[in-house]
Formats: sequence, C-alpha cells, structure tokens
Amino acid sequence: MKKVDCIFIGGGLMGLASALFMARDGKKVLVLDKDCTGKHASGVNAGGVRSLKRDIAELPYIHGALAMWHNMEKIVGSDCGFYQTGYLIAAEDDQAMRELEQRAAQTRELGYDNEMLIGRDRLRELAPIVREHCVGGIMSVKDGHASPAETCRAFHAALVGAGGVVHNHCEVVGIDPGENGFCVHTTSQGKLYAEQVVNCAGAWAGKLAHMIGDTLPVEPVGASVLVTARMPRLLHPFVAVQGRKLWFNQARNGTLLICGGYLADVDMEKGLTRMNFHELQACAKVAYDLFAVTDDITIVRSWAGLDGETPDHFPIIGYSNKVPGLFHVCGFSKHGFALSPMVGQVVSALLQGKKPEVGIAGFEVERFDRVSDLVASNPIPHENCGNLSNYK
Amino acid sequence: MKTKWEVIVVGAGPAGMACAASCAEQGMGVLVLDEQPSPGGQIYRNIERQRDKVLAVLGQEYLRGAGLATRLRISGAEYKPLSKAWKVESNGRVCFSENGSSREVQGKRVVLAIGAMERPVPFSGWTLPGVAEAGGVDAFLKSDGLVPQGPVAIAGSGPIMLLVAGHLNKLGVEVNSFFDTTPSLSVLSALPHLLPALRRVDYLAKGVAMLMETRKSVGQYKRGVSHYEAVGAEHVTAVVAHKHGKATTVPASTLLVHEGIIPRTEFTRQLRLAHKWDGVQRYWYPDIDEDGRTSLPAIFVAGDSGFVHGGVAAELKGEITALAIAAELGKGGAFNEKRQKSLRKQLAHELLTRSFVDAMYSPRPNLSAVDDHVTVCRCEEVTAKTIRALVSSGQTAPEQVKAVSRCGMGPCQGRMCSSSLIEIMASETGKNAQDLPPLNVRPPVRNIGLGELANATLLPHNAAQKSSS
Repeated sequence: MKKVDCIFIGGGLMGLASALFMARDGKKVLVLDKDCTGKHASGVNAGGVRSLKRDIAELPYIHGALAMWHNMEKIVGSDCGFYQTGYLIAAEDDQAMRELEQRAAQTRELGYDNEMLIGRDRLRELAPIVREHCVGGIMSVKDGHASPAETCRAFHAALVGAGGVVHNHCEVVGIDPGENGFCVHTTSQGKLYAEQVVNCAGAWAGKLAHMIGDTLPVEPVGASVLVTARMPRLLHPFVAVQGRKLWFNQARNGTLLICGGYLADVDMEKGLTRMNFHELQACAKVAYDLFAVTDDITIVRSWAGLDGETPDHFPIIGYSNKVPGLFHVCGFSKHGFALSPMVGQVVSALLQGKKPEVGIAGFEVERFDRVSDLVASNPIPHENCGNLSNYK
Repeated sequence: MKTKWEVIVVGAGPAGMACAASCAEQGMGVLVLDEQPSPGGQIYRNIERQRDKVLAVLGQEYLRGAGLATRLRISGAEYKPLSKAWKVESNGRVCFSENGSSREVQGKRVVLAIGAMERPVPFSGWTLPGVAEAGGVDAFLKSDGLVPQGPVAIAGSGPIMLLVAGHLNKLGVEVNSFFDTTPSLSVLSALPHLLPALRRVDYLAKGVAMLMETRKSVGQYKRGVSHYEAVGAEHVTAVVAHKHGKATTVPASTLLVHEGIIPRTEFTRQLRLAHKWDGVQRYWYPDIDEDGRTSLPAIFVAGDSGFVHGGVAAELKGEITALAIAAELGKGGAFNEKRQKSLRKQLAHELLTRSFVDAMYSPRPNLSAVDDHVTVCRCEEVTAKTIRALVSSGQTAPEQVKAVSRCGMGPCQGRMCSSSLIEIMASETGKNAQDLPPLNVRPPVRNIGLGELANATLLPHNAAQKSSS
C-alpha cells in the first residue's frame, strides 16, 4: 500500500476543503468518513455565512472566507447556493443600540468596514416583521446564505476532480503513529498509510484524539433549526436581536429558518440527534416575542446537525503537542460552516509547511493544556472533558 | 385532561378501534388520538352518521365498522377526535395538536394504528386539478356524500379501482373509461399463490363479480395499458392511455388513479425504527413481530401501518396487539391465551388470498419511468430530471438526493414523493430498492403553528426517559 501525504479523518467541510487545496498543490490526499461526506454539521446547518458580530479572533478568517463565498463558482465549480442576503441585528432599546455602536467602532478600528449602523426607518424597511419597539440595528451587507448540502457536494466533487480520494462508509478503528508517519486501520479499506493525519472529525474529534493518544476537550453538540412552510417574502437579511438567542432567516424558496443555538439531544451511540422540544419551544417563544407575523407561520420540520464544541467555543486548529504529525482542525462549536473555505486554505498551507494567509494564534490546542493534563491524570472518560466548567 | 395513560392509540380505523376497545374492556386506561372527526379511519369513515343513500352504495362491508365504532364508544376508552399526533417518543410520550393547541401525554404503551395510503405515483399531468386518487373519491363520498364530476376516467391497477368503479356506477356517475395497467404476466406470478387462495372462494368470487360488473358498467374497458397521462391547462380535460405504443385519448373531467396501497410509516420512521422492504408490493414497512411489537418496548404497530392486509385483518391485528399489551401490563384475563390463539387462526384465514392478490397487483415495473419534466416532489417542485441528474453525478443515497434537491423536504415531509424517489433512484442506479433506505422523518410529523409550539404544554424533559412497564 502506497503512503499518501495526508489522511483526513472526517468528511465534513473542514476536511474536504483542506484536502481540496492540498490536492491542488499536487499532494496525495485521502478523506475518510465513517458515514458519508457532509452527513453531519457541515451538511446539516442553517447555511449562514455571517461576518456580523463574529468574534474578533475569527474576523481574519471570516473576511477571507467571505471573499471566497462570493467567488465559489470559480473555486469549486458551483456557487454552492450562496447568495447575498445581508445580516442584521436589531436593538430593542437604547442600551442595546449603544452596545452595537461600540461593536461597530471596535471593528472599524481593526480595519473592517463591513458593519454599518442603521436607524429605525431603515430597519423597518429591511425587516418589517421585527416588532415595532426595536430602535435600530447593525448590518453587514456582504453576508449571505449558502446551501450546506450543495456546498458539501461541490467540495467533494472538486476534491475528486483535483485527484483527491474519498472513502465513504470507512470507519477508522485504530491509528498507529510511527517514525515514518501513520498507519490508519479502517473497517472497509484495511490499513492505510500517511505522512500526516488530520483530525477533522467534528463531533467525534474528541473520541478520535483519544484513540491516537491525545486529549481534546471537544464534545458532541446538536444545534436545532425550526423550518416553516413557504411564506411570501417577509425579509431579505438574516435577522437577530441583540441580547436574545435567535436567528431568523428566509431562504430563497420562502421557508423560514429559525434557530439560535437551541440544543438537541445527542445520541453518540447511534451518531444522531433527537429534537428536544423544550429547547425548540424556547426558540419559538423568543421568535413569537420578537416578530410580528408569527400567528400564521407553520412549522413543518425541525432538525439538528451534530458538531463538536470546545469549552471556550473557539475552534482548535494546529498540530497536536503530543503526537507528532497529527493535526487538529475541529471544535468549531456550531459556527464553522461559513469559515470552512478559508480554514481549508490555512490548514493546507500549514500541512505543507508554508506560511498561511492568516495565523492560527489563539486557536492552538495548547490553550487547553491545563484541562488536558487534568483529564490525563484523572480517569475521566473523554466524553466529559467539555463539562469542566470555569476554564480560562 | 389526564396526562398519563396505560395505552395511547394513534388512529381510529379498524386496528385502532379494536385495539383501544379491547384494552379498555380489559380495564386499562386508554386514550385514542384520531385525526378524523369521528371513529372509522379511511375504510369506515363517518360510519356513525352516514346517509342512507351512501350506505346503500357502500353496502355490508362498510357497515361492519358500525359495530366496531359502537364498541369503541362504550368501551370506556377516551376518544379524542380531530387530534393530530405530531411526535412520538421512544419512551411512550406523544405530542398532539387539538383545536390549534398542543400538549404532551405519556403512555406505558403506544399503539401506532395510522393505517395505509394510496401509493402516490407521479405521471405527466398528475398535479392538475381534477386528478385524484381513486380511494380519495370514496373518502369524499363517505364524509360529505360528494361525487366526482363526470365524465370520469379511472386508471391504474388494483382491487380498489374496481370497488370505486362499482360505487360510481351505483351513484349514476358516468365512468367513460377504465384503463387497467395490471401487466398480463402478473397472473403467472400470482398462480403459485392460488392454492391457498382457493380456500377463500367467497373472496375470489367477489373479486370476479366486481370485475364482471365493472366491465359492463364502464364505457370502455382497456387492459394491458402501459402508462397514462392527464392533459389540460387549468383542469384535466382529457386522459391519454398508452398501449403497445399506441395512444388513446378520451375526454374526462376527472381522472381517478390507483397504484396500490402502502403503509403509513411516518411515526415509525420518526422513531428511527428498523424497516423492511417488501419486494412484491414494493414498499417499506416497520419490522414488527406477530403481536405488533417493535424493537422499542413502549411502541407497538397495529393494522395496515404494519403491513397492508386490509380492514378485516387490521381489526384482528388490533385485537391481537391489545391482548399482547394486556399480558405485558398484567391485565390479561384467564381466557386471553385462548382468545389470542383463535384470533391468530382467524387472521391466517383472512390472509389466505393475500399473497395471490399482492402478486396479481404487484406494481407495474415501469412505475418510475416517468418523463424528465414530471414533478416528483410537489411541495418543493423537484422534477424527475433533477433526481436523475443527481444520481448520475454520484449521489447514491436517498437522503443525499433529498438534502441537495430538497425532494421530500416540504410540508408533507415526503409523504407524496419518497416512494417514487426510491423507485426512480433504484432504476437509475440499478440498485435494489431495499438498499435505498427510506427518508428520515423529522418532528413535527404534522405541521403545527409557531405560536402553538410556543404555548404547547409539554411534560418535563428527562423525567420518565425509560419506558415503564
């Protein structure tokens, strides 16, 4: 069996995108997925491409990614269903408006000019369904919405087109790190060999790290979305309300997607999520409070993707500090979809020893060392790492 | 209203009525959630308040439901009409909507008796007003005494077509054409099943009589039709039937189609229970034992939603499930074992003709050979062409095609398209349909208002996660 340059474990967008850019640089890459590519959070999320109110640490990534989303046709041969909708956060009172003003000033200072403040009239114009007490808001025009399923399909196809190989229904059952790279034991492909291994296993990233002798505080998490029947056009941008847990968006076909980090129950034994209607009810209540048309909105479905979450909700990007040659890109904590094309470029560069376009400072796994040591020295099953509270 | 019940029965057709009544008679607290305004299901719809004129048309078989409905009414079971279940949990919890408000109830056992539906099959013109399912005509007749506008054409295959043609004839509605798509070779595949069926000569004789009567009553009776289409701009105006490459066009204001009956599996799929594929009738059905037990201790399936065997069998299956539940909950009487034995015997007798009929009316092989332009998913307007293109681009699982094309993602959650999606994918990939798992169903299984969800009365989360016995 020939050795490849890199094996990516997990066929989500992080793995697909990283593998794609590496393959285009002439490297031999292999993506393994125990189900099929895009089965979990990458293919099952609300499709938001948002720079608005991203955490400061992620701004370089999202702005790089935004430029790519607007150009997807050229990058992967499909627009991935991306279209510009804009994102808007409304303020319910003057205090909230002040918070938004501070935020806009902060990003402007860092050199980003995408976040604009809008007044009450403009808010009514853009999102007439937001209840009338809202006084204004903040908006980012370039943000938009993409189709998660189409994005995964397109990245998969582009990767194969670039010479990469994808094995679906190929579960990794063991990994032996050695002097000259790794031997990866799989269910359907036997032993596979690679110079480097990338852990991009999403909800399973913690479990996978454990298997290789590393420890990551990545916990499975399911984020729910409520889907309504098609409605006449009510709003163009994604809308949220400052200080409230809610995103409201109308897809191109007219269905509303309502979410806001409401959790689903996670069944890792079967690898699936189950809707928690207490959470969905909380979501519906907030929507009912903040939007004016909710009486005639019917819910036709709900679903939740399965993602990996870290204690500080920032992703982990970088080489393992315990296993040489093992690279982690995981823990995107329910907000990785929009970042994925840019993360792919950065990871591809790092794996080839090149200097990436943007750095990974702040995302390295070292920030959890204190926690990891704690876990390593105590017989706590890895499933519990993420519950160690008060980490900082 | 009580939130905790020993048995919750979803559906009040023959299986649901028999099961609920039997459980209640044996002293169990039973809640029946029925979408309909009164007990009866599809087959005995509106049996309690039926017009004499309609009774005369529907005859003795329909009247059988009257006794069953009365038995349910006096059994002590709590019957909730117009109550739509929209989520069933593995631990026996059921959310349902009534009068625009939702609540959650808990059962030690939940019996899914939601019946069967006509197999939706897309064809050119099937979305035109005036095109309806043949069984749907009986539904209108039973609930409102309404009859379709003639001239009527009937097309497809299966005993229900003959039944409906007979009803229309008695009502004086003109059926100008009857296009039978049952392949003539079906007789051969049915022959091996004839011997057991002969023990039910009554049943076979009835079938032959229906066939003779239909031939006499309809304008033209055409056998061996390969496929058909509806034509019209705003409304169907004509029907085209194809036979041996030749097309026959007849004027019609109504086209009634029927391509067999399939179990309704939305709740068993929402629960992610295991399903099996029936290669003869070509449908997915839940994997249950002879008592209707699923792999989840709290969940049972009774009647046609477990496997399509018709109304009389459904009633027997409901009763069998009731006795099994009684035994599990320690309520069974001294004679239950004997009763169970006798019921199984009756069921076996009832099913003697089933393999013969199922093989005789197996879906025609060209069901999925629809033209590219035909809409398969009506909610999301996905055409056969889109599905085929995705298959040829390498999407091999129905869930993948659904995710990219949105086929099956609309308000009906694939009730109208998932069986065709599987058939089209099977013929495109050359795969066996049994290797194409049915689409997932996500709660709410029935549409509910956002406000209704916000105000729903739910039971506390995490309590009673395990099913109690």
